[in-house]
Amino acid sequence: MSRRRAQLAATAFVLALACGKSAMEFSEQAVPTPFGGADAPISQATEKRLRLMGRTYVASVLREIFGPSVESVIFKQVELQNGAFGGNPCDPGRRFPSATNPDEPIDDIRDCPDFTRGFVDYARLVSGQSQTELVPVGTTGRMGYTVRACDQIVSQDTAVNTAIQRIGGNPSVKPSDADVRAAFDAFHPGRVPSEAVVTALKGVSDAGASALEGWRFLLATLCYSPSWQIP
Amino acid sequence: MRGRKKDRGPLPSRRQAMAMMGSCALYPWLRRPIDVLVQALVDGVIHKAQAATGAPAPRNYIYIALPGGPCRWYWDMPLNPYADAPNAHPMVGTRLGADGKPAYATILVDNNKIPTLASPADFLRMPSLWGANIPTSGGGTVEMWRILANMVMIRGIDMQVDGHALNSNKQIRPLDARPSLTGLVADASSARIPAVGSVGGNSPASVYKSARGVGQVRLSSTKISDPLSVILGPFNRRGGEVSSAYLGRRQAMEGVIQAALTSLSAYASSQNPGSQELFAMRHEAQNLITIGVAEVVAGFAVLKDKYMKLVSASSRVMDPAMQIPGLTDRVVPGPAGSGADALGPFQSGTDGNFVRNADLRTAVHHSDGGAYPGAQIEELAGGFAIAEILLKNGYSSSVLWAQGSVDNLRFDGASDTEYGFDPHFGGVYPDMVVMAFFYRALAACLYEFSLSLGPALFKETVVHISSEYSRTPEDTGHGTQHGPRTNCCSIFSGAITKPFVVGNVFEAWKDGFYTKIDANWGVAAPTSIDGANQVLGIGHSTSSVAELLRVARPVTNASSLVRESSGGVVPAVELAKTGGQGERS
Repeated sequence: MSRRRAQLAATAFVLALACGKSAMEFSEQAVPTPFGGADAPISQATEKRLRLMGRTYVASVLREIFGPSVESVIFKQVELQNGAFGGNPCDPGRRFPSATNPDEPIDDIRDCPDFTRGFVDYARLVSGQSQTELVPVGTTGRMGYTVRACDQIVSQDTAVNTAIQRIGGNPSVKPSDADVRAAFDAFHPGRVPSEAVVTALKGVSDAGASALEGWRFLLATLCYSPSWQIP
Repeated sequence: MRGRKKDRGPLPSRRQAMAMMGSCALYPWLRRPIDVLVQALVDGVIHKAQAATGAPAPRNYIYIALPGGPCRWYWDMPLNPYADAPNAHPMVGTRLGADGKPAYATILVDNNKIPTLASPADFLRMPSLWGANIPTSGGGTVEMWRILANMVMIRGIDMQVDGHALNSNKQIRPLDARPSLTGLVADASSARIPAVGSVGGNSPASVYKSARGVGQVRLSSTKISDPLSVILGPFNRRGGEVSSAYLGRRQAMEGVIQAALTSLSAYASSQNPGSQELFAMRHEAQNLITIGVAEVVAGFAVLKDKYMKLVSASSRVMDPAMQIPGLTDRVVPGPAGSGADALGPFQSGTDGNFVRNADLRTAVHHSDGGAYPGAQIEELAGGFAIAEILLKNGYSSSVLWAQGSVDNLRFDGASDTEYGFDPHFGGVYPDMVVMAFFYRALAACLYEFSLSLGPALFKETVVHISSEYSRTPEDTGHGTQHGPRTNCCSIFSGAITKPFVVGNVFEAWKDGFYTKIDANWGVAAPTSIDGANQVLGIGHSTSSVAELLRVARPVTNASSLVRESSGGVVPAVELAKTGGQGERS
């Protein structure tokens, strides 16, 4: 068992002990109607909307795969877009690298009450006025930022080469089936792609005009896919 | 994933663990168990909510906040709409009386004006401003009362406590523990950018809250030069962002990439039913990026210009076609004398500053405004332009902004060039002139907005206008104070076809401090609701808006004051009454 897998298991065990339920049962057990009584049906059209990961997770996946050269893209297209990506809410203790001066981090108070006034109102903070959705869902706007981020990232040779290196591939050789599976795993850790998915992704890399182009658009396709943002 | 569960034994996959931990879990093994537990419970609640079924799509929601709490008796708080004996406080004027002092006067709106008011006995007595004309985008004018046909007014709302931010926020989110009206609409919306809120000017956009996890796009102000490029940022690829060479190579790969994404969609759907919706959103986003939103973004300037011109035309209060009957159809004299009693009613909004225009009309009607002469309200023009673009193009379902002040005023003898909506030191005369201008400009924009949407879209849109409260007049006329017991709101929609007013107010009320005269300025009195006399609260007004929006009530135990029938929107309680006497205890 890998250390990572063991840690996940331990966390799930603690959760199960705390609740007397297995981990996955949480999403299926009966719970009170959110925020109110029986006459408070909370919307309807979104019943099929899936929960998605927040901005921190999305940023970390891209950062982990593509390396430091895409930091400013991640910052602008993901981390600053808390309205679209949700995730960790107002956290005045968290600091971002400044887009203009990486050596001078800035406070992440965009989501905090009164951020437009340049200070954090802690009294209102505790009253739950955070704007960022802790558990976000998909919107077309979120997908738009994702597409823009992906295009900006994979258009950089440095980022593509970093990803190839981290996946364990060879930039001079078009991706093999194993490479495709490894690339898939980088975006979807622990998940196993269907054969149809591998074949289709291989079709993308094979269509590339060169080995590097094959890698580039394989990574672009995976990056575009909303599937890796689903928990 | 479920098929692989057996192979993994008791161990959760990363995805399963993430499902428990939610979106904050970058490195789950670094998180405390309690964090994991809380997140899992949140997930469970959301999941249950997602299982809810039922109701039709919500209407579009436009919320216009008037932060500060301006006097509303000029406009959407008629003091006695179904009679004409309001016993108005002497400082509560809508026009000038024969003695040159403020006087409360009304116009009759009956079936000669609005046919849905079925009989001569079916009428409204509205503040006299409603007898003025409003400018149209075609360069002409129409009678302001025309927009009443699609308007419901709720008055006599007791906010129970004072406080600007507190009461401003409650207009859309009366309870911290429940979502905001804006969030409820966004939750049920399928628009690309479900909710947009301008956070400038103490706006309640800062209390947006979704129950579903749908975020709000925030603007710093509706006055910024290019708000659409912010709102439509996800689809607005900047020049140089990626090279044209890359885009060309990317385009050449479109077929195989789409095929792979289709395969990924099928795979994801087998694991997470419903994820096909995400792929559809992605596809739409890709198309919008490819097509570009430059035209839509550029359209903002055109529409803002249209609304700016309407505001500017509304400031022409001395032009014959644009005079406000009883107010600007004559000289509105400035102060005569120099003592505090003479100057106080002419305070400019700042303590000790006085408006000394020989004719107060020139404060708003002047030629000092460049392309848009006269007093201006840029946020109003920007807000309506944004709302029109987003709704007509189907980009958003919820748009909120706050009006900060009336700008570009010319107050002779005072340094102020703007007039805010918290006029503690706003003398009765400047307040009457400036706010008459503001409300008429607002009416002109509403009229244009409704026409631009067209009948079908206007019927599916609710415009809600409110503030933290109306105000308490000072007997001296030197200004007005907060009136937390005098809140009111107005609702415009094409779904409303017959105007009415609900909510009772006292005919005589003595504040005892600023106001010692027993008179009426809209203080809440009990109304019969659900078989009992209750003073209206913010729950009743938000329930009423929610009813028209077709979303859940933010306050579940407060009834709606309106209901929708086959014939349109009708009152669910008695029509407004004015009577009785009360006093602040």
